[in-house]
Order: sequence, then C-alpha cells, then structure tokens
Amino acid sequence: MCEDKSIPQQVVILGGSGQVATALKERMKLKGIKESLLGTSSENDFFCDLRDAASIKRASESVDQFDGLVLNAKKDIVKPIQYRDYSEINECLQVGISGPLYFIGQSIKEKKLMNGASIVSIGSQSQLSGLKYSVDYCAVKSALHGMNKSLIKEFARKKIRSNTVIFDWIDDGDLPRDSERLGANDVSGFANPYEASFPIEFLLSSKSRWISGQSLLFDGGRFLSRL
Amino acid sequence: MKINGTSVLVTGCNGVFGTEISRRLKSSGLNVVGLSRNRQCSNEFVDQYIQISNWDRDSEILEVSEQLKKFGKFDNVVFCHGAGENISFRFADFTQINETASVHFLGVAKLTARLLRNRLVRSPGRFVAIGSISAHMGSVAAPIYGASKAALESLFRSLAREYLKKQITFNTIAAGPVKTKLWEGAGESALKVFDSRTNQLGPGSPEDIANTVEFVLDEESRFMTGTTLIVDGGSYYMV
Repeated sequence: MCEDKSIPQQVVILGGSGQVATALKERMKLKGIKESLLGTSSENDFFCDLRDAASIKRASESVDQFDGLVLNAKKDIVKPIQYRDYSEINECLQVGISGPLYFIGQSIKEKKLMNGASIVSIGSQSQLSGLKYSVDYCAVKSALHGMNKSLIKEFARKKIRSNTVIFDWIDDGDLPRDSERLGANDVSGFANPYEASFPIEFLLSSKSRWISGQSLLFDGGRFLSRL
Repeated sequence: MKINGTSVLVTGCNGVFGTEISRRLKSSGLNVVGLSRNRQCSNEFVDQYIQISNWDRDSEILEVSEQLKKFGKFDNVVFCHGAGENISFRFADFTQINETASVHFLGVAKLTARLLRNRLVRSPGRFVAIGSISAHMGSVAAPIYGASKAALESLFRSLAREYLKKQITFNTIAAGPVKTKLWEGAGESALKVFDSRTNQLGPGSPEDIANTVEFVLDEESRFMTGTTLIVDGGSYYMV
C-alpha cells in the first residue's frame, strides 16, 4: 500500500488503452499507486465494453475499491453529420458519457467508489470551440462538464470530487494532417502524453482537495489564440 | 514536482497566502523576493524584501520596479496581496473605489507592465495571480473588489495570448472563501459561506491555494496559460 496520503491509493482508468493512459500508468507506478485499466483491448486489466450494460456491471463488481477514477474512454468517428448512422452516434455517446455514468452509478451501488474519491474526466478543447465532422464527440465532451456539476451535488456528503481537464490535440504521433482540423495556430506546439498526464495526476491527488466541479484548460493557450 | 526556475517575486508576502506560498517555494529551493505594505518583513521565508506602501501611487510602483532590477530576472511572479475592506457600493466614495481597484487590479497591471518592459521576467516564465470567486459570482459585500478581480482575469488572458511565443504563462486562481482572520471578523452571516449546504468540501485553507500555486508554477504546467482555476471546494456549483 502506498504510504503518501496526498495521492490516491487505487485508481481505475476507464479506457485504459491510448498513450495518455499509458503515461498516467507510468506516473502512478513511480509513486506506488495501484491502477486498474478497464476497456475492450487485451492490454486492460478488466474487460469493459461501455456499450454494454452487463459488461459495465461485471467490471464494476470485479474491480477493488478505488479512490481515483479517470474517464478516458472516447469514440470519435470523423464524418459529416448527414452521413452518420444512428448506431455510430449512439456508440459515441455510449462510450463517452452513458457508459461512464452507468459505471459510476454501479460503483457507488457496489460500494467500490470510496468517500473522498476524485473523478477526473478527459475533456477536449472542441467542447469549447467545436470541431467540424465531430459533432457527437464535441457534444459528449461538453456533457462531461454538466456531469461534474451534478455529481458534486449528488455526492456532496461523500465528498467525492469531479473535475475535467480540457486538452487540445495531444501529440501522440497521430496528429491530424488536415490543418483546418488541427487548428491554424501552432505557436505553443502540442503537449505530449506524459505532459498531459500531469494535470490528471494533480486532480487525482489530495493536493487538489479543494477543487471540485471545475474544467481546467490545459491547451497551451490554443483556445484563446484561435482568433 | 519541480518548480519552474530558481527565483520568484511574491507580493503580499506578509499575508496568510503570501506566507504559505513563500514557505513552499523556499523549500523547493527558490530565491524568494517579497513585496508588502509593511515596513518590516514578518515572513521568515523571504530572502529579500521591498516595501510598497501604496498600490495606488504611480510613483511608488515605478520606484519599486526600479528597485527590483537589482535582483536580476525572475522566473515566477505571484500576486497574492490584498486589502480587506468591504464597501457598500452606494456609500463608497471615489477614494475608496480607487483604492480597491488599485490594490486588486490597476497596481497589478502597472507593476506587470513594468516587469515586462524592463525585461525582468525570464522565459519560460510564470505569472500567477490570486483572484476571487466573487469575480464569477458577484459580491454584494465587495462589488469593486469582485469587479477588479474579474478585470485581472481578463488582463491575464490577454497577456497569455501576447506572451505565448515567449513562453511566459499567465494564470489566475480564483479562490473561494478561505477561513482567515478576515472572515472570522466578518460576523455570523458572512460565515454562512462555510456551511456544508453551500460548500461541498468544507472550509478551505491557505494550503489549498498554495498547492494550486505550486501546480501552476511547476515545470510540467507549461501548457497551462490564460486559465482561471476556481479553487473553492465546489461552492460555485453548490449554490
């Protein structure tokens, strides 16, 4: 068990694949924090398909009690809205918001989400500025902010905090080639996955114990300088 | 955590926030230059000290900015000074309005302008100002104070844009009601802000604000600029 009381003891990452989750895992390993990765790929510790209620329920029953939760799962299908299937829109909403919300609910029910826990969701600058051909993705990211505000009211007695970190594109080696989609201003460059995991670690730790319901913009000033 | 650079200028270093912030930064090995209204520095964590008796006197700000040259370039600047006097808006005279606006906004703007003009802030650099939740929620007891803090946030957003290329970041921490002596003296009705119905996480402390300052000043926070981080125990959304 980790001795440092300023950091969480057990963190669950929903959407355990991807470079930000890997970087976060690396940070937590350095501090001796236990983590459980949940997702559909083989690199996760527990299988959890956020499109399937039964799978979410099983995953919430399988994990140990935790005091840190990172909502990192996403589905971004780049396509004009008129060409989207209903199932594609549903999938984006299920992976980004409905599934994570059901997981939180089940974790409370199963007494897995501990009092005083910190929930950190991964937001996107697109929730502020919009992103062409990613309408449902942007809608999901905006919904996370609404989720924070409501969760802290609902979990006020349990002292569970909920915050979002808003990133711009993260340089994970797969930046879009379309300059319109990428954004024209490149003054500040892009954060790498390890840099991006820093504010997540801060919001999980008790050093941020008095921050709740907030969206922290961590985008190198790109949102402000887009005009 | 590794704080950016080796030096910091802390305004209001004799205050509750200033003392805690200086203590943290000093223990991280930074050279702390303090600025405060008192003749004597009462903060043991400050290495060098300069007095500024009036934030609303231009000549004094100019003199202070000249004196700061002897310390070389700063890596970090933290504005956490304040003056606590609640003024009823209707009955406030022009002097009181001017004073409040000068302490919380105009003085900060003028000193920041001088620090930048005199190239006293190194790149990569960090500016952090302690703002207030009243900039977002309004304040019946201190409307000019809230307005000044809102202006400060706006200024920092503009400067964040201007100094992107120079890698100098500007962020504001909007502090919620932290239980200090000032609040304790404000009477029963004012203390309602610490009630569990309006504050999810209970009263905050100067440590909570200092933790956030440390986070913003960290080397790894270089991607955070033009941001206002509300640190208030969730009270903004609990109301």
